[in-house]
Amino acid sequence: MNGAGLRRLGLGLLPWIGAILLWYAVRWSGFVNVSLIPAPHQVAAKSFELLTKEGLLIDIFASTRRVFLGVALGILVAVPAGFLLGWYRPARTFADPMINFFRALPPIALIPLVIVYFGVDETAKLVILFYASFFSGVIVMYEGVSQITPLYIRVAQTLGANQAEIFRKVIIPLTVPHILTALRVALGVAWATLVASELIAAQRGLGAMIQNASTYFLLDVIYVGIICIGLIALIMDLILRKITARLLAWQDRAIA
Amino acid sequence: MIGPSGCGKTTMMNMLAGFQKPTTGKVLFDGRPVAGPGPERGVIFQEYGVFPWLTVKQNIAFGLTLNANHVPTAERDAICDHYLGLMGLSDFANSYPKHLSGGMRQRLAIARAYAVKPQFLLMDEPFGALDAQTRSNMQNLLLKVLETEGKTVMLITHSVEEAIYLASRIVVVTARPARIKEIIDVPFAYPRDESIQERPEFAELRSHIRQLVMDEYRAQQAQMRPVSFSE
Ligand SMILES: Nc1ncnc2c1ncn2[C@@H]1O[C@H](COP(=O)(O)OP(=O)(O)O)[C@@H](O)[C@H]1O
Ligand SMILES: [Mg+2]
Repeated sequence: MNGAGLRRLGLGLLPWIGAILLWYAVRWSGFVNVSLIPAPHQVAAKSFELLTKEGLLIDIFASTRRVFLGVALGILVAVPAGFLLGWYRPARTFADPMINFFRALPPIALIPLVIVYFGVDETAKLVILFYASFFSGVIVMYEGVSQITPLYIRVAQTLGANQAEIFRKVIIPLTVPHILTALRVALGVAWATLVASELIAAQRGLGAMIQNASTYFLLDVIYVGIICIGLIALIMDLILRKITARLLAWQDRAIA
Repeated sequence: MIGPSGCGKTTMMNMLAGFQKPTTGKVLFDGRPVAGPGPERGVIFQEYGVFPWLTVKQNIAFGLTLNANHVPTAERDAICDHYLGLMGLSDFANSYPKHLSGGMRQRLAIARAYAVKPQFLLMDEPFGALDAQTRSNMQNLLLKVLETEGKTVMLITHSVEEAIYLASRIVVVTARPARIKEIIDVPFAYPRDESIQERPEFAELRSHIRQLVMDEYRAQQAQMRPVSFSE
C-alpha cells in the first residue's frame, strides 16, 4: 500500500475510532446509567460469543439473503416499470399519484395485512422487502428516465439508427446510471426495513435476533445486531459504488 | 442561411433533417420527398450532442456500426483514424468527451457526422458558442474539410462575416414567417483564406447583407411590439 492509500485508510478509520472513544466517554461521564450502555469491548466479546456459540453467521446469512432477494425482485420489476413510466408521459400522469400513495406507506404498517394474506413464512418477509425496494427503486428510475434528453436520440437518428439500435445503443447506456442509483437506494431502504420484516415470526436473522434480545433486555446482543446490519449495509454500498465507478467512468461526477 | 433570430431557421433545418413536417409544401432531397431523419443528411446540432458514454473514437464509430450504413468491420478503424487525424483528435481517441473542450466536442460532432459520408450536412449556428479564436479555427477547418471531401453544407449563422467567408451562396430570410428575401452568390473562389476579408468586394457584400438583415431585424421587432398599447 502506498502513502496516499495509507492516508485515505487512516482518514476513513478516524471517525470510527472517534465514535468508540465517544462511546466510552458517555459511559464514564456518569450522566447515564452504566448498565444501560454496554462497553465496546463487552459488545466485541459478545459478538465473538455469538459467532462461535450461537451461530451469528446464520443470522447474518438469513438477513443478507432476504435483503438480496427482496431487492433483486423489487428492482427487477422496478426497472421496466420505472422505465415505462419515465418514457411515456401519459403513463406517468396516470400512475404518479398511485406510486406516491404507496411509497408514503411505511412497510411496517402493512405487516398485519401481509400476515393475513401471505402467512408468517419467508414469503411474507420477502413481500415486505420487495414492497420497500420496488417503490423506492421505481421512483428513482422514472425520474431519471424522464430526464433523458431527446437530443441523443435525434443525433442517432440522423446517423441512421433504427428503433432497435436507438434502444440498444442510446437508451440503455443512458438508463444504466439510473438502474445503479435505484439499486443503491433500494438496498438502503431494504436494510432499513429488514428489522420490520423480521418482526413476522422470524427464527433467524439479525432483525429477529434484535427482537428476541429486546424481550430479554439483552442490550449487548442488540448492539451486536445493529452494528452487523450497519456494517453489512456499508460493505454492500461500497461494492456497489466500486461497480458504479467502473461502469460510469464516462460521467462527469463518477463516484470513486 | 442568415436571418433575424426567431424567424424559423431552426424550424427549416428540422424540416430538412426530417424531424418536422411542413404544413404545406414539400421537402425534396435528390427529387425524393424526405420522410424522416436519415444518414444521407447529416446534422450538427447547436448543442453538439456527442455521446458522453462513448470515447472519442467510439463516438466517431457509432454511425459506422449501424445497419443502415453497411460499413464492413474491417474498414471502420481506418475511417475513424482518418477523421481523428483530420479533426486533430488523435491524442484523445480513447478519452471520454468530459475531458474535451467546447471546440473539440464540436470537431468530434463534425467527425462523427462525416464518418457516415452524408451527401449533405446541416449545421445550426455551429460556431455560435465558441470564442473568437476557436471559431476562426473551426471555420478554416470546415473549409479544409469541404475542399477535401467535396460535400454540400447548409449552415445557419448570425454572423454576416462568417456567411461570406464560408459560403458560395447566402440565403437571406425575412422576419417570421421566414421567406427568402435574397439569394446572393459569393464571388470568391475556393480555397479561401482570411485575406479575402481585406478585399473591397468583401466589405461591399458585408454592408449589403448587413442592411438586409437589419431591415428584417426591425421588421421582427415591430412584430413583437404589443398592439394594445393605446388602452
Ligand atoms: N413559418 C412559421 N410558422 C409558424 N411558426 C413558426 C414558423 N417559423 C418558425 N415558427 C416558430 O417560431 C419559433 C422560433 O423558430 P426557430 O426556428 O427556433 O427560429 P430561429 O432558429 O430562426 O431562431 C418556433 O417556436 C417556431 O415554431
Ligand atoms: Mg435557431
